[in-house]
Amino acid sequence: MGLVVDHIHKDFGKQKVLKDINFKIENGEYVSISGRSGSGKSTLLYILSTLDIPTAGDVFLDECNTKKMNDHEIDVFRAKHIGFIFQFHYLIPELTTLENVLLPATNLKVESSKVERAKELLNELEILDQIHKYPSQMSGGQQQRVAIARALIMEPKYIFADEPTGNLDTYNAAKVMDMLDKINRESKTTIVLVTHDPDFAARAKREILLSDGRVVN
Amino acid sequence: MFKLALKQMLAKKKQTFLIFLGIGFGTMIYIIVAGLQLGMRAYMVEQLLNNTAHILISGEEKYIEKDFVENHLYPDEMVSWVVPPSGKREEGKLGNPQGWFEVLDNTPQVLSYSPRLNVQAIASNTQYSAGISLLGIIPQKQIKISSLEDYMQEGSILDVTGGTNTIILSHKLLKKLGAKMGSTINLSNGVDAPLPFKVVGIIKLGNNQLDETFALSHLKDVQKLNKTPGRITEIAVALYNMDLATPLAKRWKLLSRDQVQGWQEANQNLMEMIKIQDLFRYIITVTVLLVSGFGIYNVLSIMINQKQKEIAILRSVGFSKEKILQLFLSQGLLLGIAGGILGNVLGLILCKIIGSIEFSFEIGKSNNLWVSYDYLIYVTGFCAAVCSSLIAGVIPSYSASKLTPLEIIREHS
Repeated sequence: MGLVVDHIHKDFGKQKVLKDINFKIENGEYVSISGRSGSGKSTLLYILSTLDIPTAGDVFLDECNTKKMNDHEIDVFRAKHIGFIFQFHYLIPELTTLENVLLPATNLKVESSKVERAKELLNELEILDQIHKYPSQMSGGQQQRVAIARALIMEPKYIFADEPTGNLDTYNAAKVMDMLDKINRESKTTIVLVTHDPDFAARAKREILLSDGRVVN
Repeated sequence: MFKLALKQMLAKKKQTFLIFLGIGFGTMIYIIVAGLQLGMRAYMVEQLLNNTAHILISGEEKYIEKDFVENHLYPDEMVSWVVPPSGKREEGKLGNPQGWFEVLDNTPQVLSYSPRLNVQAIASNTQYSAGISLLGIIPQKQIKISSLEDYMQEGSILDVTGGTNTIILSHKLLKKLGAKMGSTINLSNGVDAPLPFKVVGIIKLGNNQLDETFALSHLKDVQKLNKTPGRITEIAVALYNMDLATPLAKRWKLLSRDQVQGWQEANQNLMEMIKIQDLFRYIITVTVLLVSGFGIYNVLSIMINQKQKEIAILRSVGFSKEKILQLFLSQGLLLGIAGGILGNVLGLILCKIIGSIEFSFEIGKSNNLWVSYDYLIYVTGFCAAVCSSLIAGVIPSYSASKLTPLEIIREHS
């Protein structure tokens, strides 16, 4: 079980972005992937999270080879087991905070049973008072916390975070990182964090350092 | 999904409203044009059916032929004609009306039929005479096959009774003869002494030519005037479904040498005109489809371009391609339904307004345009709006569903 990366390569035309990446992440682990810009860390995260497929090699999520899953299986897996936090929050501007948080539940038609959970999350993230507001009525930090609540609403096994603090000020960035620590500690959710910030990378229990498409530590 | 589609549309109020209006106006134009065209068509068909019928069975037209005359009069001689014999042999009459009555009584598609005698006569009153087209009818049967009763200005068709020499005159003919209700005019077949007929009704058909020459009397009285007792020149047949006239007429033609004509065959020019009108209506329908379609296509294409980030997040939280397709397609559908309803309501209101305008000239029984309110016009208009919106929404919605979250995330990061 867990996440197994088996000799993966990723090419974009003649450019080799990832070269023979090979590692395993146990369930409940908090791992950061760091490296300089262009080292391939975001590409690796997209492959681990089923958004992309490797040119060669395999990724196993809970012993399922992601390359062999069809579109429907991937959609269902993402909906049930994966939460994404991106650098940009990608909230739906026409939906309120609550509706944005419930979006994955709406997809699985379990919206009503998740309303209380959504409120709990918003309370923990200190934005319960923003529940009926629209994204445009909130600050960047609040918007990113809504995106975190949305990633957590289905209580996923895996959270993939791609530079989640990239657009935030120091205070809000620290808050988001504290939240990730708490999630991992309390709910044993596997977290894979991509960051170029060495301090944030160091907060993970394990750090995977990429350089020129290879794991160097 | 439906809620999200609605919210996305409401977020772009101006765009949504404009395309909603576009679809609505397109549908409205279709409904008005179709209403007026079909109304005019109904008017023309009613006019035509008053004069003829769904099917008209009439006597065979017989002409004098040179060979026939030679064979009968000079069977063993060579004949050289200075002027060869020609012309119509006699007034067309039905050879076996009883046979036709049996056929008509046993055909379930026949609503009713009316035997008639159609003759030319001379009407005179004091100093003025006029050639008239006199139709001998059995009133009780005639009212079942046409709406002539609706065109009566005074009196009723049922007022002409057999053996009483009563007549109904068209209003202009009445004026020409200087007659009035209750006065007596003289009718002649052109050969025998005239007979007096009492005016018991005035009819106004709304057709100038007919209104100057048309007269109605009882079949028996016309037979007596024409010195042709028992003669019938035609049988006018009404069907439950007038569209069956052509196939039934075709079948009946095989039964005798009499002429059998469906109303469409008897009025081919009119039918051609109706076909051209139908063509115009179809062109308008296609135009409505295209205008609505382009509007929807543009709005959805712009919206999808603006919504790429949202599509990415929807896909990344597990929304399938089909659900994305559904999201945008339902926006096209919503616009089509709303625009179709608006178009139907506006179309109905404007048709009512147009139908209530009083013109200075007469159109049939009144001074108003005939407007059709056939429910099929409204159903077609609505379906055209919805279908065009759906079809136009397919391409942008499909392209949205094909977007992968990664492409969009990379583009925006």
